[in-house]
Amino acid sequence: MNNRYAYTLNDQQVVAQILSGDINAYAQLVKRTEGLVTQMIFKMINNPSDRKDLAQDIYIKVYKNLGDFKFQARLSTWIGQITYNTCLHYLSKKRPVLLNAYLDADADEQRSLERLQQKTQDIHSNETESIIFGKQASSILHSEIGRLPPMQKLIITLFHAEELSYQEISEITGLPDGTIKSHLFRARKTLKTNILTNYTREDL
Amino acid sequence: MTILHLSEEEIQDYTDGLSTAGQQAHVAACASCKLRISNYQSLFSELQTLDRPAFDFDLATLVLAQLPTAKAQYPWLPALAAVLSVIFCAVIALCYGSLIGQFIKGMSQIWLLILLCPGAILLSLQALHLYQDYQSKLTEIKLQDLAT
Repeated sequence: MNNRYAYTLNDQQVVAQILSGDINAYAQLVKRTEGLVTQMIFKMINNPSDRKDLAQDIYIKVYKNLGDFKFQARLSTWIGQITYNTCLHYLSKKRPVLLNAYLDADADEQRSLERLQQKTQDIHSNETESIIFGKQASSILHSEIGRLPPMQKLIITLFHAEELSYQEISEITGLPDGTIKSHLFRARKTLKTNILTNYTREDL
Repeated sequence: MTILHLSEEEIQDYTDGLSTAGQQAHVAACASCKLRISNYQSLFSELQTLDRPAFDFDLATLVLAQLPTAKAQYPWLPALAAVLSVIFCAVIALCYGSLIGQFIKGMSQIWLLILLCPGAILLSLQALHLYQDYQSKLTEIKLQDLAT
């Protein structure tokens, strides 16, 4: 496979190559964007075998619709949109309960926010501990992120790990900037509070 | 210096690099707010360095093996064939309409059923496919609405 695609061609050129029938260019497009797609699938879908099927479905959809892509957004953002909608569609068919967790989680979030506010008030009045991460940081953070509500889990990952902007996350999820900011605020606050209350410096 | 500490939201914004001169002045002199900012700084920096999930298979290879065959070179060809078929049927009906009518009238009921049943089944399958397609598109639109 020719690696020149990965470094020398921009999105428009890669798309033009693919549309002209260059299959290797499509392989490079998959390699360029699979990091984001994998992150999103892992955060939205729990079943490993379903993740594999979904990842393939997503890239088949991308291939079929590439001719309609008009560069109104970045190519990776457009693929992110397809990933998000494909995962939601999967959840609506196979796991209606999980879909509700994404789209109708306000009641649960409100309850957890109230609990969190109580916890944070205690911490605010006496936040004397510093968070100093050590060897266990990665596993602790993975575990704490896993406990976040689904939408918060996805948004904190897109913002911090994938370094997407509010606007890009908004384009992917179709949610307004304000809602994204609110999810992100709650996610960070929950993580910080849980780490401060549940772990000692030695644990981290 | 004001004794009013920054709110949790302001602390997060400050850590993101969004702050006013007043907030900066307060933080410079406030150990408590400094500590809260430092905790978020540690958290954000650790979040950026977390291991990214990865599949244990080569996604690109799997996808390439399943790509649909190249699109038809002349996508308008099926439409042209359909139009020509309709014209052909209309011409036949106009020229030989009375003969066809007589032929059908002369057919036994069994032969009529043999001809009509497959046609009816094909039409029903087409209608079902159209309905399923419509339902699937409707679901996608509803999901989009729910998400927003």
